[in-house]
Amino acid sequence: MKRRDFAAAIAASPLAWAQSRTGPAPTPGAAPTSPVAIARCPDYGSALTPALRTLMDQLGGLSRLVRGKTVALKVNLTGAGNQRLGHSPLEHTHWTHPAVIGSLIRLMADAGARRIRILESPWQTANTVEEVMLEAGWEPRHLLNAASHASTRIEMENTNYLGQGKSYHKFTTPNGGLMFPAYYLNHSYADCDVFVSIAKLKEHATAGITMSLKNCFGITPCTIYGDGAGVDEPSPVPKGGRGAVCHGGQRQPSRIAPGELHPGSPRQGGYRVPRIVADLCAARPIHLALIDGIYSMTGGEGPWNRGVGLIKPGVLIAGANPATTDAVGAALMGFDPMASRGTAPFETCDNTLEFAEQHGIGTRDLSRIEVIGVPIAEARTPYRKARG
Amino acid sequence: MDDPKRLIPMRWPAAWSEPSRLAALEGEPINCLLFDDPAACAAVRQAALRKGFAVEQPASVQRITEGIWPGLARQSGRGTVAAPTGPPWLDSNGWRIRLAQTLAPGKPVWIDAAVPSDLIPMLGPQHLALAVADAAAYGAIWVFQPWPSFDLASTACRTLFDTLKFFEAHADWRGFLPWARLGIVSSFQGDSEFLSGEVLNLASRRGLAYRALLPAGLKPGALAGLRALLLLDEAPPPAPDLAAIHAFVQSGGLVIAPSGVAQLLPAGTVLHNTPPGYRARGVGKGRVAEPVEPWSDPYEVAGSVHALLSRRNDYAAIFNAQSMTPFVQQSPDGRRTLIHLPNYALRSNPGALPSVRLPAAARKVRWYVAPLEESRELPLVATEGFHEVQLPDAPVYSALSVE
Repeated sequence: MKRRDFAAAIAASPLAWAQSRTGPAPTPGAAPTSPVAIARCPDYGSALTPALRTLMDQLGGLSRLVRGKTVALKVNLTGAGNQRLGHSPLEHTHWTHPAVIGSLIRLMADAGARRIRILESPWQTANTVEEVMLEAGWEPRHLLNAASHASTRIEMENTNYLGQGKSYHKFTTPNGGLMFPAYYLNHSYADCDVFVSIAKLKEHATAGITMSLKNCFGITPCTIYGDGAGVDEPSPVPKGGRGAVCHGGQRQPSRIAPGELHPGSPRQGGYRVPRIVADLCAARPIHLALIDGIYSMTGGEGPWNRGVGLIKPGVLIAGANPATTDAVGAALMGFDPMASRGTAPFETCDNTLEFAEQHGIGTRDLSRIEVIGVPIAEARTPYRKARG
Repeated sequence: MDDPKRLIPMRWPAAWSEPSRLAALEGEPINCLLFDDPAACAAVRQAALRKGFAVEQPASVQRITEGIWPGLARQSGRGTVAAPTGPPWLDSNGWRIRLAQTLAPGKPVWIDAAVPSDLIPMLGPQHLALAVADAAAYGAIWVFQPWPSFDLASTACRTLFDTLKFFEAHADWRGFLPWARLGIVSSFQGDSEFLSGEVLNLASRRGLAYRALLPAGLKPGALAGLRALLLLDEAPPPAPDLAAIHAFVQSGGLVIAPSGVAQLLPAGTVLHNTPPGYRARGVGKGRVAEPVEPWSDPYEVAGSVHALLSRRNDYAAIFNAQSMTPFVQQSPDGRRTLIHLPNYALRSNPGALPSVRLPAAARKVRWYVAPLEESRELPLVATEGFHEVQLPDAPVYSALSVE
């Protein structure tokens, strides 16, 4: 299917928009495909918003997706807000840059979004997302005021606990699930019409790569899926990371949520995390994937990893299908999205893209993915070569 | 705050009976010797008096505060101890010193904390330098207590003396006041002692800009510059002080208090978006917040108070400082701000050197590293609405003077 066919197929609802971008329903061996747009963007200055606008236009335009809708933006603010890689600001290495978030908010507001909610489950805290940003030296008001007119409401919510909701929302995993049959999440992931994952172009110590799919590992509230989660009921505030429940499987989530399907399966992060990520993205579909690959880091997902370094790929990547978008992102980092466990960057883990494909989210086969804008070969910045 | 004759003490080991050892202290900062058993070292005591040393018995020195050996908290045989958030626990005397200064204003504070016996075999110069700096940064003096085999001519001792000299050379810093946006109010005694002490400890650890206040001292001047008051005691403050608190909240301040105390303040509009476990109301131009359940966990109290106050009220954002407890002071004329950065890890991570995001008003930054005499100006890197300073390596103690 070509772009013009997509444009013709787009209907008014986000679901239809997403479906039109993801092609036909999955059939064995043929997960849906969808175009991915790549733009060069050397820094976070004046070139950013035009580049982003072009990407969105190439995908069919934001208006049809967000007009009159509530949009949830899951950003990537992993780790503590006061931990940097050297002297580099967090947004230059492992956090989604606020200029990217702000530019997308502005474009969505211009396109008629009614309400835009910035969501994140920050590291081990029930503090507001605004406070987490302040800790990192950001000014959250810049994001809350990013819309050019007042008719779009902008909010933030910490989704690492119950937050402003009355109860957690159950998301059932299609096809039964690979790790958990359902996930209990903060209400914000249900109370939205459009769900967007704004990720960073990074490697990941546990999952090999992290982009729009892996970004959604962080939608699990640590009050249920954290080390300090209550045994029966969720804890009031998040305590600990997701090591014991999600990475290592040493314990089960709070009983409010169903336990894992295969208690005899390996207790290894490299086995579990890719499956959980694919489950989550199947249970809570992503309508738009945006990857900040302007500045980033190599060797891991945060400054806490060993052997990490700075890199400036100078690209933005977007698509309506997170699997095809991440597959292109992997290729831009110099990796083969079809690679299996044991092959870079999946030396010690399974390939999340493979499970996303199995779940029918989207294909990872580059030969089936239309790339719009800058060709992959021209935009590629091999991360492992940059590490030396 | 200083002594008329500033005394810098050392406990003299009973096993050192030879007066000749005093020669090692000549020309050095230590000028006061403490003898637990004066009879055991009579000759040394007499010689010390002849040489001009002040001589005292520790039991008679009221200014001594029992302290803790500063550093990364250790469990015997199990390495360092992590906090609930992941960063290591730090043992620091800073909060004890600030509390002692609140309880006895104007009196010098001496911190008594012996080197742990299991640390002695691996003790390096940096350990002694940190013990000095951990007290001196807060305006106190660490009481050095050598053990019988300690060599007063060693490198470690040289570093100790040089670090003491460093802080004596910056005597003006002792006149600086804590830069505070939060008043932590308690009797710090009785039923409140544990919670209030631990809240001070953990507030320091978070870099919360606080000053400790007694409930009977809430005169308007005492609240100057504060944005919030944390009332920790279940007992209500005396009526005049409650009136001062009322005026504080009416004029825009935030008051965080147990329900029994918060209910003594006027009713107001219910506010939403409070941290979990709190309810808040708008009163006048300010806010009153109270915990839904009585406070029990000082760690959660410190964290939620920081969230209620907002990091917007921090003087600076400091990065890669997980092993530090930044302490911010201001000169009496308000023209200089000093950020003390003791590093309890006693080592730096070259891949994760600290950086500090300062207010846009910062114009000049000078960097001091104990025990070096030299200081140097650091360049300010302009960022959006802020200035940043990128700190070089400083494994034990450094300070930024900001103008």
